Amino acid sequence: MAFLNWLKPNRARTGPTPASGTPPPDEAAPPPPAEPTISLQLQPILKTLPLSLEQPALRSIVDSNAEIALPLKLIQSQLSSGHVVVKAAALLEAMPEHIRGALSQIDSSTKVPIPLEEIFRNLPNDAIRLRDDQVIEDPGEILQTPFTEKAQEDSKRFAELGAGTPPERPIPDPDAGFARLNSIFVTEERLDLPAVLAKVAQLPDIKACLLTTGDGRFVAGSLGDERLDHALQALMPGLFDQSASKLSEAGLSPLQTITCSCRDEQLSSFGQDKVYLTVLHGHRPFKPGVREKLFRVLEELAKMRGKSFA
Amino acid sequence: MAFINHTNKDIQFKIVYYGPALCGKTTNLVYIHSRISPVYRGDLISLATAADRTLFFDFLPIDSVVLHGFRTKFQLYTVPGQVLYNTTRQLVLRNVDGVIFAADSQWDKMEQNVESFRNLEENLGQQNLALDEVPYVLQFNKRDLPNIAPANYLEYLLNNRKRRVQSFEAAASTGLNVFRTLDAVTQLLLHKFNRENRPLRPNPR
Repeated sequence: MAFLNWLKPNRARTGPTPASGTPPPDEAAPPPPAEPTISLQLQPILKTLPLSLEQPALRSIVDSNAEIALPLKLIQSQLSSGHVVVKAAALLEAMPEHIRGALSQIDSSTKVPIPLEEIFRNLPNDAIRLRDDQVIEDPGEILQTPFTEKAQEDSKRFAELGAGTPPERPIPDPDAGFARLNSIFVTEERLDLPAVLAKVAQLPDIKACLLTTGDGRFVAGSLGDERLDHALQALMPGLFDQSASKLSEAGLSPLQTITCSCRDEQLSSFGQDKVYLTVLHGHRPFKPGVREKLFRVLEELAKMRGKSFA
Repeated sequence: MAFINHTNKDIQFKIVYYGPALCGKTTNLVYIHSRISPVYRGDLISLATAADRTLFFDFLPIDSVVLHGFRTKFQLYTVPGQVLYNTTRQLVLRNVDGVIFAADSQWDKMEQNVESFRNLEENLGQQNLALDEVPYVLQFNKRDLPNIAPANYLEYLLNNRKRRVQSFEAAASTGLNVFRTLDAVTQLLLHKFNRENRPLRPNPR
């Protein structure tokens, strides 16, 4: 299988990798046509592996900057289904040798999902095309419907708000975000995400922390028990969203924190823009100022989402 | 098919919001309900589970203008998006006059969008209706969220048929393009109705 030899570092490679031991091509014969490939970052693929494929060894390579190259045709042919997978064997072959061992326990026939977002970051512009023979539906003469007036009112209102078309979200500057985190933690130390989470876990009477996102794609930190981490990752988005919605209907200001008191433990979760920070308390709930500080930290992390993580 | 009651001089149109679970169908109806005067609309009837998942369907009746002596009424329905409830979706689709297919724009919902769209086509097929015979529009919802696919990919997934229909980028939670979508499908179904029922033709604006 020629596509098992993919791999590697070029982002826009368009040629096959010759297999080792292949005899030199016949000089009279034209070279085989180059098979276009698409280069993808390995990190987002590993971070979105289904739970069934997760292995402890993966933690050592999840932050790898390695890239893999997959045949464009293999990816392109699946785009119309809204879901792209490759067999684990193919993914393993494409991975750099020094990290391949981390996935060696996976059944080679298992299908590994490839995040569409990562594909589209690297997909050639002409890779998806609407069919040429389309007939665009003619809406006909404009009739006054019971909804026309409201549609016009809304269009005007959103245009005034500058939201006629949904705005592109500005890409936050992660350095500026970390600089603000420096001021929250009153430190000049150079911060990154692991350092921020370590700082959180060092706050008074906080034992550990876990950062998750609403789509379940990102987890950082740990509360010290993998089952608890997974449970909270699944629970928090729904719990937070529903609670926030109901409390808002009841006229309360935006929900910031939910504290769960179990017999032996206490947990508090903060939510902001589908990013959730959960902390495990030491003995008692928050010491003065800690809750507010944690929420400010989460606000900064939520702003940086998409650039610095997930 | 529009229901015409000659005795009461009523024409009833049924519009169904279709789409995958949690794509915002009910949110569309909630917004519409909030913006239409109680004089013209009934109560929003919603049968939902404790987790706010639509269990059966949502229903919003809207009384409207008089067209050539007939009072038009619009019945807006949503279907339950969860795969499990296909029989309910088939029931809700019966005698549908127009469909708004609400797609969830988030990257991780693309496959569910495609499956739901196929399911719509299959369920219409069970009523001997081809999708191309039914007035429908696409709504790409949740455009206000950060992790969304570009609209051209949604077009590629859902609008790559011979007949290319109107599509709207929307955010039902804020109301963005909710009424534009509803207005567009209503225009289509009224045009269809007019073609098939010349004597009831309303005046163009």
